Amino acid sequence: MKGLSVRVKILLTFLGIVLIIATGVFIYHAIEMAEEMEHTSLERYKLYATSQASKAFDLLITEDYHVLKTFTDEIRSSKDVLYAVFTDKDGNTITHTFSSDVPSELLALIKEGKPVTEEFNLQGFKPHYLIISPIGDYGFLATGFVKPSMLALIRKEIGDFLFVYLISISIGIIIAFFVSSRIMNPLKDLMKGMERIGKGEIVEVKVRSRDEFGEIARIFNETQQKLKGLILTEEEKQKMQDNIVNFLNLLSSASEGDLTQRAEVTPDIFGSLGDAFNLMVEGLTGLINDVKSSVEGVSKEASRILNILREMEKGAETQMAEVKKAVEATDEAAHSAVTISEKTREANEIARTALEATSRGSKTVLEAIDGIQLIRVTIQAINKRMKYLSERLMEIGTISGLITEIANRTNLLAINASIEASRAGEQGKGFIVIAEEIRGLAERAAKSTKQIGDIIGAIQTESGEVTRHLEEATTYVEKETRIAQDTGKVFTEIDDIIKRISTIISEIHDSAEGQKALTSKVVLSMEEVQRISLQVLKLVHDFREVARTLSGTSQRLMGSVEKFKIPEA
Amino acid sequence: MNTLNLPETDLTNRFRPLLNEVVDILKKAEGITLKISSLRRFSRNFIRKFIQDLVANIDIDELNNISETEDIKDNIFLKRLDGRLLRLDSPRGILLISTVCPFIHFFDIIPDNGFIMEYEKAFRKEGIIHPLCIIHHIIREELLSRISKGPLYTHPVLIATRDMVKGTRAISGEGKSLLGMKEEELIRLLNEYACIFLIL
Repeated sequence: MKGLSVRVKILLTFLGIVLIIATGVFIYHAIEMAEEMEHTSLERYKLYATSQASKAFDLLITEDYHVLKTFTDEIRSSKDVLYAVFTDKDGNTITHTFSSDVPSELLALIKEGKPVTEEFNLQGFKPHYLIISPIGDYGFLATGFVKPSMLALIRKEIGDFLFVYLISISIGIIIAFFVSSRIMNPLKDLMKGMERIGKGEIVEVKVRSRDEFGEIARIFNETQQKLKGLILTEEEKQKMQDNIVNFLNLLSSASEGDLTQRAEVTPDIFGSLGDAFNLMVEGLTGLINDVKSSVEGVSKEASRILNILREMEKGAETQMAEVKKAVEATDEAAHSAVTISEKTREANEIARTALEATSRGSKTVLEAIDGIQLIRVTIQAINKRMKYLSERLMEIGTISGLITEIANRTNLLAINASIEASRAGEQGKGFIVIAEEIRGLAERAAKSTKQIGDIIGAIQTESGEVTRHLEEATTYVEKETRIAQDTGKVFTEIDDIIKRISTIISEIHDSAEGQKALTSKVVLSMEEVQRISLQVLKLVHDFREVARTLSGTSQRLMGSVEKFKIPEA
Repeated sequence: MNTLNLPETDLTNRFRPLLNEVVDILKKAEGITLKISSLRRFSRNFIRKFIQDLVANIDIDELNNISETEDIKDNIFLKRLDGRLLRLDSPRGILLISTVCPFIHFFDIIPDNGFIMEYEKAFRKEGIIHPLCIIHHIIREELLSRISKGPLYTHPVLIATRDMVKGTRAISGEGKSLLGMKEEELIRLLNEYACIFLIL
C-alpha cells in the first residue's frame, strides 16, 4: 500500500466502501426477500390447500372414496406437495399418499386441529410446512409442502442482484475518480510549490477553491510572504543551530533526570529560554527534594505502621486465642453450673431422705425409750411382787416351823398316849392304835413340813436370784434408757444438722441456678466479644494489606525520585 | 448406615456412635445458650479425642509428607474430617468450600425443634441449617487452631450452609459482609456444595 499513489488509495477506499455497502444492502435485501418469499409461499400453500379441501367437499359427503383417492394422488403430484391425507371429522384416515400407514404424530396433529405448522418434522422428510384444512364439518385435508430453502432463495437473489451490484461498483469507481481528482489537483500544486521552495525559490500557489485545500494554499502563500523578512544569514543560522543543539542537549539531560546542568544565560532569545530553563530546573530540584523527603517520611511511617500493624495483628490473634479460651472456659463454667445445680438437687433429695430417716429413727428411739420405761416399770412391779412373795414364803416358813413343832409335840403326845394306853392294858389297845396313827400322821406332817421348808428355802433362793437379776435388769434398763435418751438427743441433733445442711444445699442450689443464668448471659456476651474480636482481626488484617500497599507504593516512588540527579546542597 | 447415597467421611463414622449423647444434650440442657454451650463443649472433647486417635494411628509416611508449605485444604486432619475441600482466594481471605457434609446422614435423627430459630434470635447469628452445624464448626475451629501455619489464617468464619438433601440453605449476613461477596454469587456457589467458610 505504501507504494500506491493517493489517487489509487482514494479509489480503493471508495471501492471498498461501495463494496461493503453493496454487500450489506445485498444481505439485508436477500434476507428480506427470503422472508418475504417464505411468507408468500406459505400463503400460497394455504390457499392451495383450502381450494383443494373445497373441491373434496362433495366427494367426502357422497363418500366417493375411490374418486377421492385419485384426487389425493393428483394433489400429491402437484409441485411442492410432499403428501396429502384426507381424514373424517374424528381424524380417522380415509385416503392418503404415504407408502405405508399415516404417521401417528401427523394424525395426532390433525386431531388437535392446529391449522398450520411451520416446521414439521416427519421421518423420511426434511422439515416442511404442514397445513391442515377443514372440509366443512366432515373431515380434514392435511397437506405437506416443501419449505423453501434459505440458501436457494439467496442464490436466486444473487442472480437478480448481480446487475445492480455491478452498476453500483461502476458508479462508485466514477465518483471515486472524480473526488480523487478534486483532492489531488490542489495537492499537486502544493507539492510543486514546496519543491520550488526547497530549491530556495519564493512561489505563489494557485488558490483553486474555498475549501480546506484552498485555505492551505492561501496560508502557504501568506507564510512565504512572512518568511521573506525572516530569512537569516548563514552565520546567524549556524549560531542558532548551535544554540538549539546545546539547548536540546540540556533538555535531553534533564529529561534523563540530570538536573545538575544549567543553561548559559545570553542576551538573545536563547538566553531568555536558558533563564527560564534554569528557573524551571531550580523549581524542579526543589520539588524533587521535597518529594524525596516526603517519600522518605511516608516510607518510614509506612514501615512503622506496618510494624505496628504486625504487632496489632499479633495482639488481635492473641486476643482471638484468649477469647477462644475464655469461650471454652465459659462453656466449662456453664457445664459446672449445670452439674452443680443437678448435684445439689440430688443432694437436697438425699438430705430430705436423710431427714425422713432421722425423723423415723428419732421416733423409733422415743418408742424404744417408752418400751424401756415400760420394761422398767414392769421389772419394778415384778420386784415388788417378788418381795411380797418372799415375805409370804417367810410367813409360810414360820407356819411350817409351827406345824413341825406341833407335829413333833403331837408325835410326843402320841408316844405318851401309846405308853399310857399300854398301861391301860386291853382297854388301851385301841387307843394305842389311834396313838400310833396319830404319831404316824405327826411324823408325816413333820416330814411334809420339812419338805415344804426345803421347797420354800429353794424358792427363797431362786426368788433372791430373780430379785438380784431384776435389780441388775433395772440397772441395765436405766442405763439403756439413758442411752436411748442420748440417742434420741443425737437424732434430734442429726435432724437439726441435716436441716441446716438441707438449707445450705438449697442455698447452693439457688446460687448454682443463679450461676447458670449468669453463665448463660456470659456465654452470649462472650459470643459478642468473639464476634468483635473477629471483626477487629479482620480490620487489622485489611489495614495491614493497605499499609503494605502504601509501603510498596512509597518505595516505588522513592525509586522513581532517585533517578533524578540533583546538585548537592 | 448410609441410606442417603451421599459420601461419608471419617468424621461421619466416628460421630455415629455418639448421636445419643447429642440427643441427650439437646433434651436436657435448659435454654438455647446452655444447649449451644454444651454442644460446643461436647464438640471440643470429641475432636480432641479424635485428634489424639488420629495422631496415634496416623501413617508415618503421611505425617512426614506434611510440609511447611502445605495448603490448609490439603491438611490431612481437615481432609479426613471434611472430605474434599475447594479453595477460593478472595480479597478478604481464603474461602473454603466443603463438597461433602459429614453430618447430613444424621439430620433426620436429630430434630430441629425450633433450635435454629432460637439460636438466631439469641446469638444474633445466621448461616446454620441444623444443630449439627454448631458441632461441625467447633470441630473446624479446634482443628484449624492446631494447624501450625503461624498466627495467620486460623479462624474459620461460617458463611453459608446447605442441606444437600432438602436443598434448604442459610447465609450469614455477618459472614457475607466480612467476605464482601454478593448474595447471588454465594447462592451460585452454594447450589453446588455443602457449606462455605472463610479462613481469617
